[in-house]
This record gives sequence, C-alpha cells and structure tokens, in this order.
Amino acid sequence: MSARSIPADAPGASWLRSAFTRNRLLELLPFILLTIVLILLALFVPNFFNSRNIINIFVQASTLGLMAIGMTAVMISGGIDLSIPSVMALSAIVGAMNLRDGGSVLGSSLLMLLVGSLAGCINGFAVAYLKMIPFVVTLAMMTIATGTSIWITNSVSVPVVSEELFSLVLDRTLGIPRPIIIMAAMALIATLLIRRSVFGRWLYAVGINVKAARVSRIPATRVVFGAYVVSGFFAGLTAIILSARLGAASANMGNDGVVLDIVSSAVVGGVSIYGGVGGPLGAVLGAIFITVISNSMNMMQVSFFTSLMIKGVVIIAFVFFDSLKKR
Amino acid sequence: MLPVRSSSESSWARTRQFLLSHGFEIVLVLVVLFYTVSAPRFLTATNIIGLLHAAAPLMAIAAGLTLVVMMGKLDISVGSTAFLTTSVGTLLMVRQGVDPLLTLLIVLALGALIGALNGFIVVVLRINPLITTLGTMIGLRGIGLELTKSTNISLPEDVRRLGNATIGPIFVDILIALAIMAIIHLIHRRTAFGRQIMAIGNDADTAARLGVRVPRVTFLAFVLCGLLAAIGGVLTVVQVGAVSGSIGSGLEFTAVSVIVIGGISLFGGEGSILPGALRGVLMLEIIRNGLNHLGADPYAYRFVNGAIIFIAMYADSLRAQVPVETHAFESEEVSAQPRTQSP
Repeated sequence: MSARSIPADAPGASWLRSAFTRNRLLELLPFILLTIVLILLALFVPNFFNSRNIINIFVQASTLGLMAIGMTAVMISGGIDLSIPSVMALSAIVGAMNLRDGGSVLGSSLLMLLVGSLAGCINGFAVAYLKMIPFVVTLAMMTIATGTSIWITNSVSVPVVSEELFSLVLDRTLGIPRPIIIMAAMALIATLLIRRSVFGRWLYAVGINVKAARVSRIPATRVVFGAYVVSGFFAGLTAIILSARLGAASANMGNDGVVLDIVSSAVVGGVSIYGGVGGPLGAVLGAIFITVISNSMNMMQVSFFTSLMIKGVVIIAFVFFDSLKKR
Repeated sequence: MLPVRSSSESSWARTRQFLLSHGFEIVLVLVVLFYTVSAPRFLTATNIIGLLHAAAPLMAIAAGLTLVVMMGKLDISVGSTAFLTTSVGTLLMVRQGVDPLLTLLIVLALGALIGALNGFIVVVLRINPLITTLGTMIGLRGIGLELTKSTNISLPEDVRRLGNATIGPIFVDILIALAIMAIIHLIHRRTAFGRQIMAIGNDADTAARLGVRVPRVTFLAFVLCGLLAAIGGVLTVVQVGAVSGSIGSGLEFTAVSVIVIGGISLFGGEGSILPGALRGVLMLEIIRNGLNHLGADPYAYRFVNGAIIFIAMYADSLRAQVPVETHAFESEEVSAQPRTQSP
C-alpha cells in the first residue's frame, strides 16, 4: 500500500515524506514547542533572557531534574513512583533534624540518601517481590511518608542552618552554581549507566516486555526492585540540595504539584508511561521545559493556581501525543 | 478465587486460606474489641451515629469510584471534583443569590460534566485513566482555588442548618448516603450496565467481542463517578458549613483505600458495593474514630491511613494471586470495537 503511494519518479518527495512523517514530527514536538515558548517569552517578558534569570531557572530545574532522573528509571521499567516528592521531604526532614541536633553535615547528608533509598527499597520490594500495583504502592508510600513528615514535625518546618552545608552544595564552581553541575553530572552518569551497563539494558528489556525478559533469563524481579531503589536514592539526593537551598525542611516540600511536575518532565522528555522508552537526558530537558513554563508564568504574574491548571493540560496533551506515537 | 486445596496440604495452608478469606471479619472484630475495652465511650449509640454521620460523604464518593475500579480503572480526581463543584455552588449561592435547590442541580450537573470530561479523555483520546485523572485532579483543584481565592466561604445560614438535620436520632445525610449506596448496588447487580462493567473489568477485549460497547460503558461509569463525587462534596460542605481549600484534598487516596479494604480488586472485575465498599468505609471510619477516642496524636492519622492502605493492598494481592505484573499501565485498547461478523 504505502510503497505504491510514493511516486517512483520523485525521490525528493520521498525524502520529504520521511523527514516529515508523523512520528518524526511528534518526536520533535517538545523542541518545537520549547522554541515557540522561548520566542514568545523573548517578545513579551522583558527580563526573561537576562543571565541571572537563566541561571535561576537552571538552579530551579536542577532539583526537579534530579527527581525526574529517578522517575525515569522507574518509568522505563514500566512502573510509576508517585512517592518521590514526599519521600524527598521526609529525607530532608530527617536530615535536617539530625543536623539541628548536632549531627555533622556529612552524616546528615548520608542520612538523607539512606532514608530515600530505604523508602525506595520498600516500594521496590512491594512491587517486585510482592507483585503489588506500582501506582497504589507508591500512593500508599506517599501517604505514609507525608504522614510521617507531618507527625514528626507537627507540621512545623525544620530550619537548616549550616554554613558548611550551604557552601558545599550552593557554591559556584567555574561560575556555575553546584546544583546545576550536580544535575548535569548525574544526567550524564545515568545516561551512561542506562545505555552501556547490563542493568540499563535489562531495565529496557523488562519495560518493553516483562515476560519476554523473564524467558531470556533476565532477573526481572531484581531489576524492577533496583529501579525503585534508584528512584529513592535520587529523592534523597534532591533532599540535600533543596533543604540547603530553602534553608529549611518541611512536609510541604513534597506537595501534590511536585508529583505532577516530575511526571510532566519525564513525559515531555519522551519517557513513555508504558515503559521501555526514553532516557534520563530527555527527562532533564523536560524538567527544564517545565521550569521555564512555571518561571515564565510566574514572571507574567499568572497565579499559582492557574499555573496548576495549565500544567494539568500540558501533561494530558503530552501523554496524548505519546499515545499517537505508539499507534 | 483460590483453587480448592487438596486434603494432603498442610494445615498451615488451610489456616492461611481461612485467614485470607475471613481476614476482614477477624480484623474488624479485633479492632472493635480493642476500642471497646480501651475507650468506654466508643461503643455507644451516640458515637456510632456520629461515626456514620462522618462517613456519609465518603460512602457516596466510594460508591461512584467503585464502579470505575470494578472496570479495572481508577479515578483519582474525585476529591478535586468534590472541591470544585461545591466551590462553584457556594459562590453561586453567596455571591449571586441563586436558589439552593437550583444550585444543587447545577452542582450535580457540573460533577457529571467533569466525569464526562474524564471519560472523554480516557475513551476518545485514549489516554491512560491514571494520568488523565492525575492531570484533572491537579487542574480542577487549581480552578477551584482560583475561584475561591483559597479562602473559606461560609454557606448561607439556612443551608448550613441542613448539615445537622435529623429524623429521630439519625442524621439525614446518613440515610441519603445509604440510599445512594443501595441504588448503586442495584445498578451494579440488576442492570445490564452493571454486568457490562464487570465484564470489562474481567477482560475488556473479550467483553468487546461479546458485544459490550466498551467505550460507552466506560464513559458512563466516569460520568456516574463524577456525579457521585459532587454529591459527596455537597454532603461534606453542608456538614462543615463552609467551603475551604482543603475540602476533598487527599479524599481520592482515602476513597481508594476504602475500596481496597472493601475487597474490591484494583485489577477489576471483582467486588461489590454492598457489603464490599460499605464495609471498607466503616472499617476506615471505625479506626479513625477509635484513634480519636484514644486521644492519639492527630498528626499521626495520615500515617495510620497509609499503613492501612498498604496492609489492605498486600492482602488483596495475596488473595488475588495475580500473575507477575510490574507494569503500572497496561496499554489496553479502551475503545476496541466489537468485532463485526463476517458476511
């Protein structure tokens, strides 16, 4: 059918066709949209393209990007982790309390990573070994983590006051704030791991077809477990940066809006919610895109609530494009 | 259902099966016993009526959500639906002076409309229901907060009084909620629509081949779910006496946990409204009410809620003994057309 419909005497036309197939267009869509948004911003928001605001956007995007990398690991395996922001908040609170009670900066940071990874282990154990549904497992974890955060803090935020931590996390290296460097480094490492390591290949295999993966003797259970631990670890890492940046840790750090941002980042960055497709670099680009939207809406003085609304529409639209790609 | 065990199996296997199939009753009895012993005012008529009164909104919302869950889908926008519809209703009454009865109709219509929006996105745009309702959950709350400027708005005095209306010793909203559950139960058990929902929940493809109009039934279930979420919202707001930004927040998670506790499988095709969903609501409310009587730290409630969901789901997965399932989302074709007969 399709072979016949391409005229044989027009090679130029067939080249044009392959360049502008629907799938190609859909793959480029995020970049096309980002370009349109950036042009609009340049025209209508005077201070948008000033170097301070650009750096500000990247610093804001760094925490979202790190969480999106964790989410990518889980989403490639075919699952979803709604508990990332609440686990991040819980880790930050536990670390901040340790710091407040005289713990060292290193110890508190390690504690944050540990709490995050531990929550990831519980999620992974429930999904991979107990065969529970990822969406609901992480929903329960989200409730438990937020509940614990509220419980141990009585809903009061815990101050983080440590010059040592601030300089460690927030200083600039070569003029670039460290959160940006950390995000870039993590995106690079994660991309290398996922493209070059055995674990990465297994992860994609499990996400594409878990039964086929099992038949090919891939330890699917352990791979899925690992994906959730990675996601928990990145929640802990984000906790360190965010608590230093905010100078406080509270249960509110991981509110519902953040979950949506993470899922949007991953989906906009080309990570499929059906598993097996996408990578960390895309997710980080997605995080930058989402941050640009939030930041510009903020600068245009659109209210927070309206921005929630617009983001809800953006995520549904991108999942819709994603589903078009599949057909 | 579990296969029938042969007699050669150990008594432990039989005990385990007994615990799994009667787990709910055992836990309920233990919980009630514990509270009765430790809190003297727990098992009194006043407290039980108060408990049902507090549970009434959740009953309505859980009834609607159950229909969607039985189809093997989820709607986590119910809390935001309850919030947005009642915000609009309250603003209409307070700012525009619209008649309460007309407002009620508008609120219910708006709920059905939101359900229709979810249904449209799921059925026509073929977007996964979880992502759809995650998007609408956040988006709708955004609209509601924008409309109310996230402040508290009190209901008119005469409407507020309805929240404590009683017939004899029993609150009216308990009767309304129970009536709704009974109606949904009848729809589920006695109508073609109800059976088609179960058929879709068991296997959407097979249902489509048997001639079930999967898209239409899916759409209708979402509409009903939105409508009942609005009713639940009305019951909540009338009880509270005002609409505030926190109305219905976290309600979707409570409703899902209630459904899981009620033995309704999240994989679809299993469970009942009565007694299933109702016993889930009661269980959660009893645990909460009891914690209250024991003077537990109110900040701990959310943690306890999460733990309960986790335990209930673990029991669910044991009972269902589902095959390996690591995928959060099955890319099933919601709008698969029934296969036409070849000439």
